[in-house]
Amino acid sequence: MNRILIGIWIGMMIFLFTGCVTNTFVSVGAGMTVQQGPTPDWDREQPGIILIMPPVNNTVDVDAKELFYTTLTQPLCDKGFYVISPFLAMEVLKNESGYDAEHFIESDLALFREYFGADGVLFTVIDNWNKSALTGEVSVRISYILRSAQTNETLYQNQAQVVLDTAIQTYEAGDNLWFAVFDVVATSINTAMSKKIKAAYTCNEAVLKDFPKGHYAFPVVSDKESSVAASEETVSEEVVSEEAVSEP
Amino acid sequence: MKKEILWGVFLVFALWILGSCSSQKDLYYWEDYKDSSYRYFAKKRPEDANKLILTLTEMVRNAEKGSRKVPPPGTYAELGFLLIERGDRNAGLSYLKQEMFVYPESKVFVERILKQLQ
Repeated sequence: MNRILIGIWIGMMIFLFTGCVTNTFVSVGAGMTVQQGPTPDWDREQPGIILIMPPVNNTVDVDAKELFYTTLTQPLCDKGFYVISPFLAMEVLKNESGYDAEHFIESDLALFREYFGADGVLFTVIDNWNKSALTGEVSVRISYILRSAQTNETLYQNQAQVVLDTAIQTYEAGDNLWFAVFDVVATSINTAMSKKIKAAYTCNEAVLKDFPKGHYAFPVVSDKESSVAASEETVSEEVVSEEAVSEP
Repeated sequence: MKKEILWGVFLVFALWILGSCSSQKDLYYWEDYKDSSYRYFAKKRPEDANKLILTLTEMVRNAEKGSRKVPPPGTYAELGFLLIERGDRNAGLSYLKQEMFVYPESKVFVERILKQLQ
């Protein structure tokens, strides 16, 4: 019996050690603001439709604003919110001279309710977006403020900082299989996206851990949803076939 | 002795794998949206737009893989807008209307986009 317990202990150690690989790769510090997480107004308003404003960029990296803008859509949708597409929101915002979020971060947001039907407007402020040429270390610090488009009250506030070591360990013969799997995944992400964007995604994950869930996170079967499949037939799929897409 | 230790290790891994399998299904199927939307936004090249159209099409086709069985918010709207930009107006308008059908809360915003496209 004792020997089985020793085996379980060894297994647990291997499991924990494997899990620690990511911790050597990324360090995250979230919640550094005085007020963090949802405010008491959140429960009163229960926002369902979120408009993400283009980020306020307080860094010298001119690309940071455009690059970070797209990173919040997926995690917020997965939390159960209706998130207004940033691509399309930008079309409207540019047309209505609303692209510079810094002008609205403390102003009346009623216009966003009128133009987008938004319940909440999410502002993000990039305070640090830096990559060290010497160590390859990427450092990103972002503040998140969700304000009500109905009452202008702050519904959620948080801040996160991520320091990402971009020098990925390589798999060598003799390492355990989980190291190899992690290495492949990490490398593929690295090649697909810039390292700063990867750090930004990590920042989002850290902050959104305590972000309340939206209404779609709670399953309700409605007649509308069940009839979606039938109505989709009205939309021709031929127009988006791969052949058509490949044409310039 | 060794055999019993190996059984212990095996037990831990069996429980770990079992735990991973029972994880909750995601609300939506995203294909490679994160990557292709980033590329489109960063580069805005025609090939990036085409790749995003393909990704969004796959998200519509595979919507059943998510627990809500519908594409994520904005999928139909983005697809419709990109198709209109590419000159496929009728298909694009159908998708924009589909966004309003699946997500009625998008009406205010999609109608504004439609107005802008006129």
